[in-house]
Amino acid sequence: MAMVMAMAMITPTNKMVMIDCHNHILFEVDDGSKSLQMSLDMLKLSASQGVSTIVLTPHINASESKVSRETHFDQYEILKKCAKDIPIELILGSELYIGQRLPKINLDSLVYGPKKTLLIEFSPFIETPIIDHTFNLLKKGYQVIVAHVERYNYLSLNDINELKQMGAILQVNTSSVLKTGHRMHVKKGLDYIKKNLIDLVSTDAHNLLRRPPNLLKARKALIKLVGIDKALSLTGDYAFKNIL
Amino acid sequence: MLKNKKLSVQNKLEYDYIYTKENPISFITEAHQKFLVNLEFINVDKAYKSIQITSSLSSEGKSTFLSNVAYLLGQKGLKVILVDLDLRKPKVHRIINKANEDGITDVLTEKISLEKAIKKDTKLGFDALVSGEKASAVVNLLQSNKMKTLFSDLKKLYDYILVDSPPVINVSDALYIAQITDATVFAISQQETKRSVAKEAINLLKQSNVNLIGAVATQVDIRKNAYGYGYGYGYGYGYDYTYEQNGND
Repeated sequence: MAMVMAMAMITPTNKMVMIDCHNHILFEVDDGSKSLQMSLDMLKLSASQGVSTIVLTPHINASESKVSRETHFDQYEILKKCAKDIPIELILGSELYIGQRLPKINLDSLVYGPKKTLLIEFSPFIETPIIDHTFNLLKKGYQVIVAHVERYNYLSLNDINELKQMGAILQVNTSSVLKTGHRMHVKKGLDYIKKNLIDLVSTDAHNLLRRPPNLLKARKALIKLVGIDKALSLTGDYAFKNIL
Repeated sequence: MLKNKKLSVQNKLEYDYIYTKENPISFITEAHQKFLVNLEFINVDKAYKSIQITSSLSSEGKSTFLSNVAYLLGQKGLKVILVDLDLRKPKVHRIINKANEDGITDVLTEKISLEKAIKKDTKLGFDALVSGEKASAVVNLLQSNKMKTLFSDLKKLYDYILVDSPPVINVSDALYIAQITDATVFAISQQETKRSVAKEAINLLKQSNVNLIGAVATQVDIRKNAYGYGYGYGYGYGYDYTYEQNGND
C-alpha cells in the first residue's frame, strides 16, 4: 500500500525536481539525436515525465564526436530557441572522453554550473587510469562526474570507493536501473546503488526508441530498490543541491 | 583476513596522511625511526644518496612507507626529495595532494625546468618531484642520459633522494631505476605478499646485480606481532627491518 502511495506521488504534475545530467539530445553533433525534430521530441518526452532541467552532454574527444565545440554552442542556441515552449531548462555541458593521457583541450569551455562541473568517460575495454585522471581534475578545481561508472569492468569495488572518497560524483545509466542494458552493467550498477556509492542516475539518452529519455521510469524502479528519498536524490535532488 | 584487507584498503585511500607526522609518539613511528637508524649504520660513508624502494607486487605500502621516511628525515634537518619514478601508476602527487603535472617527464622533455618542477611543502618538510605527464616509452625515459643528469643534479641539491618505483614482478622498471640510484630497499607486505612471490622478486633483483641494502615489512598487523601489549589502535602500518649481508638471506 505504501508503495502504491509512493508511486502515486511520482507523476509529471508533481513539482519534485527531476534532472537529467547525461544525454545526447543535442542534435547532429554526435551519435545522439539525428535532427532538430528528434531533439524536440526527446525534450517533449522528458517534459512529459516531469524532467525540469536537462544538461546536454555531447561527446568530446571521442570517436562519436562529429563537430567542434563551437558548433555545440551554435546548435545549443538553435535548440533553446526552438524549444522555448517546452517547460525544460536547457544547460550545455559535455561528456569528455579521456584516454591514457588528459587531452590538451580547454577544459573550461566544457564545464557548467558554479562548481565547474565536468562529465568524463573512459574506455570500457582498455584499462585507463581513471582514479589518477579524476584526482588530477579535482585538484585542478573541477567538479568531476564519472559517467556510467558501472561500465568499467576493470574498476574494483575498492576503486569505486576510492573515487567516491576523493570527491568524484558517480553516475549510473537508467538502462542499468531498468535492466535493459548489458547484463554485467546492470549487475554492477544495481550493486553500486544498493551500496550507496552512486550520486546520480541519468538517461544517457541517444534517441527515441532504443535509448530514449526514461528518467521517470528509472525513478519508479529506484523507489522500489532504495526507497523514495534516495530515488529522488539520484534522479534530481542531488544534482539540484550540488551541481546546478 | 578479510578484515585486514578492508583496513589496508582504508589506509590506501589516505596517501596524504603522514602517520609519523600525526602520531610522533607511537609504535609505528618508532619502527620508522629504527629504519632510519639502520640506514645511518649502513650508510656511514654517505655512499647512498639516492635510494629506491620497490616490492614484488603493487599495493604493498611503498609510497606510504617512503612518505613517512621522507618526513622523519626532514625532521632531522636533512634535505630530502621524494621522486616518483613509478611512471605507470604514480602516487607521489597523492601524498602531497596536488595534481600530477609539471613532473619528471615534463623536465625530461624540457617543457619545464627542474627548479620549477620541484614541489616544496614546508609543512611536510620534504620536497617532491611528481611523475608528470603520462609517458609511453617508460624504459627509454629511465635509461636516458637526461635522467642520469637529472639525478646527478638532484644529488647536488639534496641529502637524500627517495625514489618510489614500480613493483618488480610486473615490470622491469625497478631494475633500470637501480642503475641510476645508489641503493634499493625492498618492501614486503605482511598481509598481502606470498613468500614465494617475494623470493622470486628478490632473485630478480639479485640476478640484475641490484644493490639491495635491506627489506622492510609493511602493513604489519601489530596485534599479531611481538608488541601485542598496550597498543589499542590495532591494525596499521608497522615496519620491521632486516638487511642481508654477503648475499645471505
